Amino acid sequence: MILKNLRELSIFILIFTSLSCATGGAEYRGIIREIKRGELDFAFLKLKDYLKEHPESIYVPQVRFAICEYYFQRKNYRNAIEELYKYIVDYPEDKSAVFTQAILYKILLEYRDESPLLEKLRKIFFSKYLFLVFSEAKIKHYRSIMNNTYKIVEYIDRMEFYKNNELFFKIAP
Amino acid sequence: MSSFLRLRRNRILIVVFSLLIIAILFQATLTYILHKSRPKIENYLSNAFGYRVTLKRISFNLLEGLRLNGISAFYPNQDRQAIYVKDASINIKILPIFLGRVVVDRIKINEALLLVKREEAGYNLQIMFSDIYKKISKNPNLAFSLSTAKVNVFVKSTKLISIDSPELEKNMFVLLKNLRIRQRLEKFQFNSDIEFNYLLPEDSGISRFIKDKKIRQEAKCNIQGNIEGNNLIMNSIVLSMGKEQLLGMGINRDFIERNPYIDINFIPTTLSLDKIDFLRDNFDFRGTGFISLKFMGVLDNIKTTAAGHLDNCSLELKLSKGSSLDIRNLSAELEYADGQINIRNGYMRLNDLPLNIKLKTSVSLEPRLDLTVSSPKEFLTSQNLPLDRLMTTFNGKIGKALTGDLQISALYIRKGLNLDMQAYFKNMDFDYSDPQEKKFNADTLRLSKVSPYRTQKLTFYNLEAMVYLEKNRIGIKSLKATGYNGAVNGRIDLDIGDKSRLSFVLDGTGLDVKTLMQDVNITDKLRSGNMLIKITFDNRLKDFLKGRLYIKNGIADLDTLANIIKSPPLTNAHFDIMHTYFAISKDIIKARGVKLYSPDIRLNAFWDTDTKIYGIINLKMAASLLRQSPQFKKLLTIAKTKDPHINFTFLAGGIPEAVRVMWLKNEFKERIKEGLPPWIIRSIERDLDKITE
Repeated sequence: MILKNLRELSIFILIFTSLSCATGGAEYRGIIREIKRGELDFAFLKLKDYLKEHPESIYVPQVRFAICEYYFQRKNYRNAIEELYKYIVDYPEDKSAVFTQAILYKILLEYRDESPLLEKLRKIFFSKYLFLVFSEAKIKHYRSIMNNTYKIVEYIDRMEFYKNNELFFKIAP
Repeated sequence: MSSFLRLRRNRILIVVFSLLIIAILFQATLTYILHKSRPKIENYLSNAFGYRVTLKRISFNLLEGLRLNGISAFYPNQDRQAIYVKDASINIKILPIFLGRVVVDRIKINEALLLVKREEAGYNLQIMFSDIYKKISKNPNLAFSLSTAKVNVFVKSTKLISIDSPELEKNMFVLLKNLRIRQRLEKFQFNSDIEFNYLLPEDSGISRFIKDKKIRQEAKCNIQGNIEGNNLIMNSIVLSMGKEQLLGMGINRDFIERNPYIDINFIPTTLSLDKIDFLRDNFDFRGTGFISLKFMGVLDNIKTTAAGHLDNCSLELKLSKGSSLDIRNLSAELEYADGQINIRNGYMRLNDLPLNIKLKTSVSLEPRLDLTVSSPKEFLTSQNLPLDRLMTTFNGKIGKALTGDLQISALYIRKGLNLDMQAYFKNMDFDYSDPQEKKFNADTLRLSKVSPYRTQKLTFYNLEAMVYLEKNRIGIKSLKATGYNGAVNGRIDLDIGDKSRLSFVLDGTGLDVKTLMQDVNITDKLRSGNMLIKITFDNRLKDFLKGRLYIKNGIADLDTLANIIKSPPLTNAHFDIMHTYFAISKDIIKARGVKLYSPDIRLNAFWDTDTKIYGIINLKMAASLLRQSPQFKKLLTIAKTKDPHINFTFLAGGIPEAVRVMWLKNEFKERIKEGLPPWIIRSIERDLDKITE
């Protein structure tokens, strides 16, 4: 009986390991651990390698988002804009898309405040109907693998974006 | 010998006197003989020519030769003469008479009348000439041949009248004055002053543009050439109108046949068009034209073609007393063929309005007119009009009134979108000649606007209006039309100047909402009703189009609202009255307010938009209606309300393309919130999110 259970357990571990190896899950978790340790630069390089080695992995959107955040945090805005733009084009309906748009908006606001892309992003932010029945605002959250928390609060007349509970920026239609 | 005769002078006198008496006696005797022989002469001429010839009087004059008065030649089976010579003299050479030959030196005709009629084989006069010539040529007694003869004919005045009307003076005629035809062996010369006259019929559509309804043009014609066999080779043709000359050459092939072939070409020439009487007198035409002219075809079917271009011309078209079209800077390519005038690549300023023009019209009493005028793009830009194209096309006839189809089309660019807009008047009738009020009618008016996403249209019938035309202004008043079971009326004003202004006011009453909304294609939420609408337009204002509309006794689809507040479906919500008012600017459509009243629903919404919305929506619904929804029934139970009506107040925000609505606090909302567990509140909100997604 014990042997039978052990056998099943082994098969399970084998399958799990194989799967992990096939999708890069172990690598992915390794990168997350490095991020938690604060080794962002090393983590970034590994994230880049991860994309090359596991282009079909289910973690690719989170990895790409993390790369965008890294560039933003390191004030490498040129690469940040490029990666953010590609992300928005590739995952327009993903729940993280609006947060990617928010980071892009923040960069443009600070450094290219006359860009026509700002107006385009503003229209995208306010492009959906909103009905507030019992609350005065609608809130969305997102947590990235870079350990950043994002929050969007939608009011009747404005939207507020928060990063790590600090006001990122405010926008009105 | 008597002393009288001794004087030489007296002897000369006697001889001269004797010769004079002999001459007078000779002249009198000959005249008497000729007069007596008149019937024989008539007979002889009729047989020789093969056409009946009558002669009123024949006499002999030593100075002028044979004098003939009242010569008539008749075409077979016709009572009216084809040729009538009032007075002619024929100089005959004396010496050949003694040799038994009659040699005509010169023919002088003082006045003649030629009535031209088209017969089956050709023109009557040409047929007669051909037949007579051939008969004479074969007559051994006459031995006449044009190629060897010497002809010298002078006609002081002859009129050629084309017989269309029995009243001769009403027909078209050509007057030839001082006509001289000289021919010696194979060389010939033709000179004449020509005057062309045409009296337009009273009911002709173009007669209003022509002074005294008469088309008149004078010219001088000189032709020199050779006779080669049966052909008249015209080596030089000079047509002079004032100081302007057209030079050409041509051939009259088989000129002795009944229907010879004419081929005449004029060298392309620059003409000052104000030297052409007809153009100057009737249209005050000025400017130059580079023109080539050609005549080709059998005599009774000569095709005239012309081509060239007009440069910087000006003219005036008098529509009526005190009302005219002033055309300047007209430049265009011009073509005439088969009775059609074709103007292409034209540009002009019409009452100071720059226009590109393309025109096709026929030369007839009620000419057909196909006209396209369009505003140059630079002009549209200078007027700050967001139009890429503004064009008017007319296809119809110009007579006492302008009748046909009129289309005005514009390409309006709004927010980067091309909107193709058209107004099509079918079977219009425009009485342009009235000096004061010009009536305008059309069977159908179809308005359409086509964008990449949708087509919108409006169709009206039995359009009537009064048009006032001034130099830089067009006013349309008392505009009336029917459509959608109702009627519209209004007025339109167009001022053309440095900054053009278009304004109009339109009122519509009794319009059926169902059929109207199908055409207008704005919303499918308005299902039926009876509409009253007032629209004002002024292109100079920021909000260039404003409107206010009322709909009575209608049905609307309010399901979106029903979904939001979880009420029973309101797909066919009856209402007593709906009122909305709106304004459109270059960037935005502002619907300012909506009121909807029905026994169960009272909606009163007001909002303002520029790029964003701010507004309030008050909604009062009958509790009995709300109880029809199971979810709402529960909510009402939770709220423990006994009021017959429930009030909702919403705040509106966001942008017109994606409205944001928030339910404001009130007693009913607070009671529900207190009575519902949080997980149900979250479920309601999730459902709403799904609706918005």
